[in-house]
Amino acid sequence: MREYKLVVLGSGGVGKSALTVQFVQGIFVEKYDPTIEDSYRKQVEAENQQCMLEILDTAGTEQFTAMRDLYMKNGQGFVLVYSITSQASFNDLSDLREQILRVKDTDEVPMILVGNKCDLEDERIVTREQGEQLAKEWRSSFLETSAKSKINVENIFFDLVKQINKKTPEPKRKKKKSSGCALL
Amino acid sequence: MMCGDDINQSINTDMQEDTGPEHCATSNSMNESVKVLENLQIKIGEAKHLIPGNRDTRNSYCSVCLDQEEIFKTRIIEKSLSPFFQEDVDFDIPHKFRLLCFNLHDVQEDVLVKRDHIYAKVAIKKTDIVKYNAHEHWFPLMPVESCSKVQGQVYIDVKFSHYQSLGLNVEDGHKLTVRIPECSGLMISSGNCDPYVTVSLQGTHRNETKKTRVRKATTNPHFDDEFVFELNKNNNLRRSWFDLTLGGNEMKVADQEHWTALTLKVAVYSSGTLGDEFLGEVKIPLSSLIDMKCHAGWYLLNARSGKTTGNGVKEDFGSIRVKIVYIKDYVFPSHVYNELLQQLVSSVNVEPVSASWPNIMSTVCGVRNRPQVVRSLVRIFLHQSMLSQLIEPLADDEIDRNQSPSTLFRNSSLVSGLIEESMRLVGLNYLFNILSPSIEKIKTEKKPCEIDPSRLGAPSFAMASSTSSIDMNSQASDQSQSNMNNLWEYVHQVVTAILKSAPQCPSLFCEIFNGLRNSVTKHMPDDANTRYSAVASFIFLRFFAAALLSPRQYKLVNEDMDATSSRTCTLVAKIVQHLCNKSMPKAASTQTASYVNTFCKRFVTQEHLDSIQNFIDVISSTMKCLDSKGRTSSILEKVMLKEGEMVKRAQGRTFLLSRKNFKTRYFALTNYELSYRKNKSSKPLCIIPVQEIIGVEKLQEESFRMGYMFQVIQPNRVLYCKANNSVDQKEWMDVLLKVCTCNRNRAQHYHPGAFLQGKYICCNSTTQKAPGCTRVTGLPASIRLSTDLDRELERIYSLLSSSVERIHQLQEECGARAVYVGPQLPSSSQFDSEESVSVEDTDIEQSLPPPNPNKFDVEDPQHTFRTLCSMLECISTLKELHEEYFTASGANDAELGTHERPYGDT
Repeated sequence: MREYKLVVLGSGGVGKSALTVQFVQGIFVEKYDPTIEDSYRKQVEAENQQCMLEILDTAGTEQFTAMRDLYMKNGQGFVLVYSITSQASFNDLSDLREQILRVKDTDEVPMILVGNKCDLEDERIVTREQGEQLAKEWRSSFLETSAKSKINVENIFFDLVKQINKKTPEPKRKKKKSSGCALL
Repeated sequence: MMCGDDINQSINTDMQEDTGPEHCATSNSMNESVKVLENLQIKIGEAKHLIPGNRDTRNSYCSVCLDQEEIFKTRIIEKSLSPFFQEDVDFDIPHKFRLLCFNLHDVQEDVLVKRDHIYAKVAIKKTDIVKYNAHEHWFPLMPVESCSKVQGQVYIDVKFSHYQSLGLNVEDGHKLTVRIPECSGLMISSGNCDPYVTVSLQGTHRNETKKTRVRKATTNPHFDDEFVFELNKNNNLRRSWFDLTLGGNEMKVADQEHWTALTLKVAVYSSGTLGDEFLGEVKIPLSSLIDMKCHAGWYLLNARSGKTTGNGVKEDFGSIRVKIVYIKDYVFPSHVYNELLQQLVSSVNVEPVSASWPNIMSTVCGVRNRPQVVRSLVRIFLHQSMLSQLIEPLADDEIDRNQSPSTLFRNSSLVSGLIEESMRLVGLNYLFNILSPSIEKIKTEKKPCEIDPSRLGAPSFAMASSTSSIDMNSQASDQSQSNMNNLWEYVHQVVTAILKSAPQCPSLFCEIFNGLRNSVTKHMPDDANTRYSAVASFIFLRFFAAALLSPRQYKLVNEDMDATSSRTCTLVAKIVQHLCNKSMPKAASTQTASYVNTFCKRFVTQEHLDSIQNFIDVISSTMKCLDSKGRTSSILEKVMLKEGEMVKRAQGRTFLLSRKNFKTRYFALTNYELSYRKNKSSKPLCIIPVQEIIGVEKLQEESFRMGYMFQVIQPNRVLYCKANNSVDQKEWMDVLLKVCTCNRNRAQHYHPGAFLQGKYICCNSTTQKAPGCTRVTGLPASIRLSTDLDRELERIYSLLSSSVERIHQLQEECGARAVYVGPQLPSSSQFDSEESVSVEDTDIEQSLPPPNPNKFDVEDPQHTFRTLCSMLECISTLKELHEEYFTASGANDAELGTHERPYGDT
C-alpha cells in the first residue's frame, strides 16, 4: 500500500485540526484548543487504489516555526488553510508557501489552498475570488470548506493524493525504497 | 599609508577643538562618535546530495567561519548525506572580515584517532551577502581543494624611482622598489604556517627572484625586507644602440615598452621540513602600474595560474540551505534619536490605537519585518520601563476587535509578537528554574515515553521486527503501560514546578497578564473562559509549551537533544497544553478519541485542573502589580522575596583571632532591603538597603573552610553568609542579584577570597579596601542595562526608512478616505488643479467603498495621517544625518586595495 505524507499548515485558529479530525474521525471538534502537533493515519481508497494517508496536523502558533522545516522536508503534499473570516490568516499563507518551495528546492509541490469556515458566510472577509486568484497565482488547487458542515473536507485530501500521484507515479519497488528512507 | 595618518590627525585635532555642547557638534566629530555595528543572524537548514566519504556516508557538522575563525558549529548529524541541521546563531560581528564560510566537516572515529576534516564548503564574500540577505537560499557546495587551499591577502608596496647611472654611459635609469610589509589570513596547512614571501620580476629574458626571511608560526606575518630591481638591466647594449639611432625621445618609448613585458610576481610559501608549501601568489604586470610612481594595497592571493580551473566539468558537490540576515547599523549619539524616542513613547496614548506608531509601523513594514519591529519595540519600551503601557492599549484594541472569543490571540499579530518577545526577554531565567530540572532528567534517564499507539506499533519505526504480530501487540500494550507511567512522572514534575513558580513569576508578566485579563473582562463580561484562555495562550502555549518543544532556543539546554528525549519533551508539551485547555472553567467535553485523552483520563484529577486555573489566577491578579495609572506599584509595596536562616560572619572583622564571629541569623530580603535578626520575630539587627548591594558573588571555600558561602558586596564592606546547601545558596544569590541589577554602581571587580589576618587570601592585598582582583561573574547586569537604546532606535529608523514608499501610500489612502469621510486634509493631491480635485470628489462619491479596500485598513484617517507626518519628519531628519555621514566618511564602500576590498577580488 502506498503511503502519503500530508501536512496541514496555516495560522492559529483557522480550523486545521477541525478539518483533519473531521476527515479522519468524522467528528466536528467544537472547541478551539491549540494543537502542538498531531499525526493521524487513515486508510482510504483513492483513484481505485488503497492508500495510507499519514496526516500531520501542525501548530499554527508562530513559535513553532523551528519544527516547520522538518514537516516541510518530510511532507509530500501540503494543505494550506486560512479562515474566510480572517484576512491575516489569508495573508500569512504566502510566506508559508514560499518556505515550502524553498525547502523542497522546486517550484512544483503538491499543494492545495483551503478557505475554511465557509459556513460562516455572514462573517466572511476573504472573498472567494481572492482565494481563486491566489490559487491561480500559485498554480495550485483551491477549495472552500467547512469542517462544521462537512463541505469539501474529503476532497482536500483526495485532491492532494491525485496531485502526488501525478507528480510522482508509484515506482514499482516502492516498498524497499520507502523503508530505506525511513532508516535514514 | 601616509594619507591615512594625515586624516587621523586632522580628525584628532578637530575633536580637541570641538568642546562645545553636543548638539552643535561638527560633522567630523559626529563621524567619530558614530558606532558601526554589524550583526549576523544565520540559520543553517540542511544539506543535500553530499558526496559520500570512505564509508558511503558522512557524519557531518557544519561550522560558520568569518574568514578562518570558527564562530559556531552545529551538532554532528551521523550517517547522512542529507543532514538536517536546523540551527540558528546570532552574533555581533567582532571584527572585519571578507568571507563568510560554511564548512562541512566529516567526523570519523577510528579506534584511536578522531579525524575531523572539511570536505565541502561555501564561501560568501561579505559584499555579496546583501544579495542573499534575509532569504533562504540553497548554496552550491564547493570541494575544499579548489577553493580553500589558497586564502589570505598580501600587502604590496611598489615604488618606481629614477636614478643616474654612474657608469661609462651616463644615462637615466629606473628602478623598482618592492616591499611586502605584511600578509594576513594565510592558510594553515598541516597544522602549521611558517610563511615567507618571494618577489620576482619575470619576463621572457629575465627571471629574478628575491625572498624574505621566514616568520615562525603566524598567519599574519610582518616583513621588513625591501627589494630593489633595476628595470634597465640586460638592455644596456640595445638601448645605447637605440639611443644612437633614434635619439632621446624615442628611446624612452622603447624603454617603457620593455617594462610592460615584465611581470611582478609575489608568492607566499610556508617553510617546512618536508619541503615548502605554496600558499598563494599575485601577479602584477608592470604595464598596469606604468602611470603610477608608487602604488600600494592589499592583494588577494590566488592559486597558481593554470591550476585554477579544473577539468572543465562542473561536478555537483551538493548544496546547503542557509538563511543569512545581515544588519549593519550606523548608531549615532543618543541625542540624535531624542525626537524619534519622544514620538514613539508618547504615541502609546494616541486614540484610536490604530493611529499609534507601533501599529502603523507594523502596517507599513509588513508581516515579514514584523519580528524586527517587535524586537526593537520591546527593547526600547523595556528600557523606558514602559513595556506594559505599550502592550496594554494594543491588546485592548485587539480584544475589542475580536469577534470570536475562541480564536482570540491564536493568530500571529503585533500584540502576540510583542508579548511573546517580552516573555522571552524577561522570563528566560524564570523558565530555566522551572523546566531545566525536568529536562535534565529526561535527557539523562531517557525513559521510553511514547504513548502514540501508531508510533509504538508501526513496524516501519521498529528497529527489527522478526517477532510475530501477536507478540508485537501484547508487547506493545505492556510497553504502552510502562511508557504512560514514565511520561506521567515527567509531566507531573513539570506541572508541579510550574504551579509552584507563581510567586517567582516576573512582575512584568503579571502586569501584562493582568492587563489582558482586565481587558477581556471589560469587553466580554459574561465570558468566564476567555479571561483564562487569553492568559493561557501566552504563558502556556507560547512560553512553557514552546520552550519544551525547542529547549535549545530557550536556552534550557546547550546542545540539541537526541531523538528520544526530544520526542518525550514534545509529548510532555502536548500533555501540559492539553491540561491547560481542560482547566478552563467551561472546557468542552472531549469528543475525539485520542491517546492524549486516554492518558489524561487515567492520571489527571480535577484537582490538577483546578490548581492550573488557580495558577493563572495568581499570575494575572492585581496582587503583585499596578495601580490604575499603569505604574508598577510593586516598586511601592514591600514584597518579601526570600527569608530563612543563614550563618553569617560579623561584618568588618579583620582578624582571625576570634573565630567565633559566626552567628546564625534570620535573614529576610524584600525588594527594598536585606535584613537580619536573631529570630523571625525579633527586631532587625542590621538593614542593608538594596541600593547598597553592589555585587553578589560566591566566596572561595578556602576562606573559612566552609561550603555554600557567598558574599554580599557593599561599597564599604562585605557581608559573608553561609547558606544551608547549594540550592539555598543559589536561590539567595539569584534573588539578591536580581534586586541589585538596577544599581548603577555595581561592582566590576571583587575578591573571591575573604579578608583574613590583614590580607585578602585571593590576591594578598593588605588593605581591606583594595580594589577587587577578579572580574565579577558574567551574569547579565540587567536586561535594561544591556539594551543598547540607540541601536534599537537606529533599527527603527532603518526599518521605517526602507518602508518610506508604503508610508506615502498609506498617507495617500488617508487623504483619499478623508475626502469623503470628513474634513479635507493636506494630501498629495494638493498640487492638483481645482477642477481635478472636484472631479475626484464626485468619483469617490459614486464609487463607494474607497479604493484599495484590502491594501490598508484606515480607521481614523486624520490621526493616522498626523502620525505618518511625524514619522516622515523624523525619518527625513535622521536621513540627512546619515547621508552627511556617508559623504563625509565614504562609509558606503570600502576603497579598492583596502583589506576589506583587496585587488583581485572579483
